[in-house]
This record gives sequence, C-alpha cells and structure tokens, in this order.
Amino acid sequence: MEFTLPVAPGPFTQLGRVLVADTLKLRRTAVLWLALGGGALPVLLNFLIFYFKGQHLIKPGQNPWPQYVGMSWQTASVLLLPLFVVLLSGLVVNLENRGGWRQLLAQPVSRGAVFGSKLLLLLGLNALAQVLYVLLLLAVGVLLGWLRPELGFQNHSISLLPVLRMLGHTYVATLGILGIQYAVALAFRGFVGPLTVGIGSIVSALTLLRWEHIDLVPYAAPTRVLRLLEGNKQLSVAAALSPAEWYSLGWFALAVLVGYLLLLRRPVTD
Amino acid sequence: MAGVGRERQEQVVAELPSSKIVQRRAAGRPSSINPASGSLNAPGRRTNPAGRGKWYFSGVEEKENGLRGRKAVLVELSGKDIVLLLGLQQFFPFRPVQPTAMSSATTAPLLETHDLSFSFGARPIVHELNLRVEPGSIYGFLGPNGAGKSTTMRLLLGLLRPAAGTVRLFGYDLARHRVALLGRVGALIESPSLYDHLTGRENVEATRRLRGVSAHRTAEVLALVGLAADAHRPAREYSLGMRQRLGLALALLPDPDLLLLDEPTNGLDPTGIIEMRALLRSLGHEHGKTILVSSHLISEIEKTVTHVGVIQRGRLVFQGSLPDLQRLQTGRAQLVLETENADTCRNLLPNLLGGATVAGPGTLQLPWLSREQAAELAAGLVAAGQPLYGLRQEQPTLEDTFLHLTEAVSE
Repeated sequence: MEFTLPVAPGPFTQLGRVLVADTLKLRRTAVLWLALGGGALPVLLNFLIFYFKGQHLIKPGQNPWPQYVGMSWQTASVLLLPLFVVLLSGLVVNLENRGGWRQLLAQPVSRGAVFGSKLLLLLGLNALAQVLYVLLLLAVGVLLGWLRPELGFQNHSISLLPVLRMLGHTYVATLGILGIQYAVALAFRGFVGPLTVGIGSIVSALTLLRWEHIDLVPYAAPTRVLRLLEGNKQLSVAAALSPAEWYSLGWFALAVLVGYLLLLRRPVTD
Repeated sequence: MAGVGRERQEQVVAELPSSKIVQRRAAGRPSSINPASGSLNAPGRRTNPAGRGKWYFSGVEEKENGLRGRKAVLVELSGKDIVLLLGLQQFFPFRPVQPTAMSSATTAPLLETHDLSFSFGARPIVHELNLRVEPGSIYGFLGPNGAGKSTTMRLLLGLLRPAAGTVRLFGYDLARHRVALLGRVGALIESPSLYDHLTGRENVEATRRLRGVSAHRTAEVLALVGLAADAHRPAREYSLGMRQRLGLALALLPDPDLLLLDEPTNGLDPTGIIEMRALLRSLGHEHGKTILVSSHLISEIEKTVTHVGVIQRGRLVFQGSLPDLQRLQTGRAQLVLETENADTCRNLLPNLLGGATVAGPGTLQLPWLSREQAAELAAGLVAAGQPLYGLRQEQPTLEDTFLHLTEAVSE
C-alpha cells in the first residue's frame, strides 16, 4: 500500500493554532487574574497614600502628577513587577506541567510553534498587565482629582507622552527577566523551581543595586529605568533606551535561544 | 551454499517444548543482515543481538504433522551475511505457517520500527525493536509493567528521540516528517493529560483548535465516547474512567488513520472495559482504523486484537497474528490424569509416566503428544489395576502463553 505524505500546516499556521489553544487554556486560571489584576496593587496603595496623606506630599499649587506617577512607578517597578513576571512565566508554563507536555508535543505542531506560542502569550500578558496598570494609574489620578480636589490633580495635565515612554522603558526592562524565567520554567518542569530562582535573583539584584555593573543584572533593570522618570513640575522621560534596557534585550535574546533549545531537545518522560 | 552451513559447529543450547534451539557459531566480523525479513511466520526474523558480534535468528519449523513449534537459532555472523542466510534457510526451511496479512511482504506496513532502541542514561529501555503494524489491523502491544511499552509509544510519537533505529509511519520517516505524519495519528499516552480547570468540552476544544479540525468534531467525539452530557463539567470532577474516555475523545478528534492507545482500559470498570473493547472493534473493523493498543493484560485485549506483539525487557519476544500466538500454544498442551494415588501410578508405569509431574495427590500432568499416548496411558493404568477417574487434554490459555513468552526472556 502506498501512502501519500500528508501536508504539514505552515509554521505560522501552526503558531497561530497553538496560540489560539493556549489562550483558551487561560480560562479560569490564576495567570489571567494575575495579568488583569496585577497592576492594581501599586495603584491601590498609592491611592490610599494620596487620599489620606496627600496634603503632606503635595505643596499647594504644585503639579501632583509627577510625584504621584513617580511614587506609583517606584512601588510597582522595584519589587512587584519583577515578582509579577516571575509568577506569570512560572504559571503559564506550569499549565502544561501536569502531563500537558506529552499531550501538546504529540500533536502535529512543531516544538518551535509550541515555544513561540507561549512566548508570545507571555509577552502579551506582560504588556496587557502593564497597559492596564497605566490606565488604572491615570484613572485613579483623575479620581483623586474628584475626591481630593485640594491636591490639584484636576488642575494639571496628565502629560501622557512621558507616561507612555516610561511604559515602553519598563516593558523593555522586564523582557530580560521574562526570557530568563521562561527558560528556567521550561528547564525545571515545576512551579517551585522557577519561583525560587526568580525570588533569589530579585533579592540579589536589589542587594547589588549600588554595584557599578548593576545594569548587567536583568532583575534590576525595572528599578534602573526609574532614573529616566524626571521633573518635579512637569513629568519628562527620555526616549532613548538606557544601558539596563539594552542588556535586558540581550538577556532576553539569549534566554529565548536557550529556552527554545531546551524545549527542542527535551525528552518527554513526564 | 549449503557448504557454508555445514562448516559451522552445531550445538543444542536450549529446548523449547517441541523443538530445540540450536546455536551455530562462525568466526568472523559481525555485521548487519537484511532486516527486510518478516515476523515470526515470515521466512525468518532477526531479533536481538545477544552481545557484540552475535545475532539471534528465529523462525518457525514445520514438521510432517503440521507445526510443532518454534526454532530459534543463534548465529554469529561472518562477513558473508547473505551467503550464511541462504545456507541457513537450506538447513532450516523457515516457511510461513499460514499466510496472514502480517506475512505479506508486498503490503507496506502503516507503522514500522527498525531496530528501534532507547536508553535512559546507561539503562537500556527499548532494544532493537522491529514492530510492524499492517493497515487495518488492531495490534495488541503486550508486555508486563516496565517492559518498555510506554517508552515505545513515546518513541512512536516523537516524544523521545531514539538512541538508534527509525520509526516509519505511513511509510515515511517520523524524524523527518513528524508534524505532517502526526496529523493522521491520534494518541492516548498513559493516563490522559487533561487541563483540570477546563470543562470536558473546553479540553476537546483546545486540542481541536490546535489541530485545526472542523468545529463540529467536538460534539461528535464527545458523543462517541459518551461524555456529551458531562461536557460542561470541569475535568477535575471527572472519574478516572471519564478522564480515560475524554482522552480517547482527544485522540479521535482528527478522525485519525492510526490510533496509538497506551493502556486505554486503565481505571475503567468492567462495563467501561467492555465498552472500550466494543469501541475499538468498531473503530477497527467498521471504520477501518489501524490501532496499536498496549496492555499488560492479554485477557483485556485478546477479544479485540487481530495481531499481537509481546515485549519483555525492551525486546520483542513475539510478533504475529492472533492465530499465530494461539498456534504457539499447540505445542504446550498438557495431558491431565486423575487417579487415586499419583505417586503409585508413576512408580508402576515408569515408561509412560516417567516424565509426568505430580500436580496433586491424585493428579498427574504430562506433555500432550498424541491421542495414541492417551489411549496407551489409559490401557496401562487399567492393566496396572489403578482407577482412572479422568483423562483430559488441557490447552494453555493465551495468558499462559503470554506468561511463558515473557518468563522465557527473564530467565
């Protein structure tokens, strides 16, 4: 009996199909709640600070936005954002750790498509969380203008461009952590391993913040880009990427390559 | 060419119930032989190398009174492989017992492995496996736990990379065309891996979208495995049997030509097992699917399968049609004799009962040879004044044969 070789779907079709399936798998997961609600905590904390103690922070007549945005961003970037990326990548990969890999990798899709889909999903969820954070931050600022008019939020413009630039810088700064944590999660095949590596790395990075080569450490990058946030009277953020971001991109590229090779060569025994 | 064979030393190394294993030795460089020869009932089959430079060669010997048993020959090959093979065939006319679908050399197998080997570190798990699954067959892949069934299944799906050897599906190399070939394969490996936070339907949907299968298939496969009514429930609430059925639904989703099912009856209750059997039979016989189904219990699949492969410690110890396996039993029939005192009878009739084993105080058991043997024995016992309560032939069950096959290797 002669058989004709079935036609394999193209690489982008495969990637698209895996991505659709991966997105469906997010239903009712902690990952989705984390991405949707992760940005709320720093905003909520700063809302409470400004609502109850705003008068001590803002001089009368001063533009409150730079102070408000700066404080919020600091709360978010130093610890919460790296921790969020660690959790996000660990949870996304962990969705497959209860036998999902053997089901997924026995399907007619390349391992490259499986790897690429989860990477795109992580990048998307990370972007979603950070965009939601910014939207929430600005919305709460407006809300403070209504609730505490004496702080003056309503009297000054938000200055959207620097905020968006800062969003871009922060996103790039998290890519190094995201890439490394994704590769680590693929290597460990469990949730605890990558979480331990992640927390250990964040703590180490924060301890080493005064080291002259700290820009090399990707887990410190979100903190390092905070320096770009300038201006007391009007918020201003430079457009050019800082060294920490370049290193973050480098780490991301390297980790993606390592992670891909890990998945490509992985014997599926679980 | 016969001369080549004659020059070799012949030595009996072991005896099977009805034939001898003969070892032939020849000095020289080890090398491979033509792997194209078929299975047990084909002209001859290379199975396993016992070590460097040694090759087993086994086949079936046909005697005047029909098939008596299996002959296995251990050969250490010289460089002149072909010459030796032809020489061997002249001495041992390995002929097909009865032509079956499996032995047809013209039919391309749907699934074929060639010297497939795999090891975890230094520990070999699968050793030079030559599986051959014909289109339309239901192939029972049998072996005790830990024999290498699941590892083989994973190798067949490209989940593990073989240390040596190849897997061919639909005639094409799996390593080169994995994505294209798996498009026509449905698989259930061990306990099905489900996403517990998703409902049954969402689990099917995730795989359906991933495979690009049309949307109506979701409802179809859920109905086929009897889960339509429970499809809205989260998979974590499913019983083991329901999980197994949902796993099967996932495997059936693309309407595959080849189904690889690893222990699909695991965790099913008796009704579930019967339903699974009926489903497999219907898929195989009515829908023309080729199915490779693994199990550690022959009784579970003997009513379903058309062909059997038995694996033990990573080696294939039998491969052939179900009738072939049943024929293996013929040589292992026993004559059971019920009397008053088994020991007394054995002492009184040493010629007839010397080789008998005492199975109970009044029960003797000996290999069945012929009807004449039974008549002679009955006459002998009566002549010796011993009561004869019963005399019957006992066929070993397939289960016994399976155990015999797997034990033979472990010894």
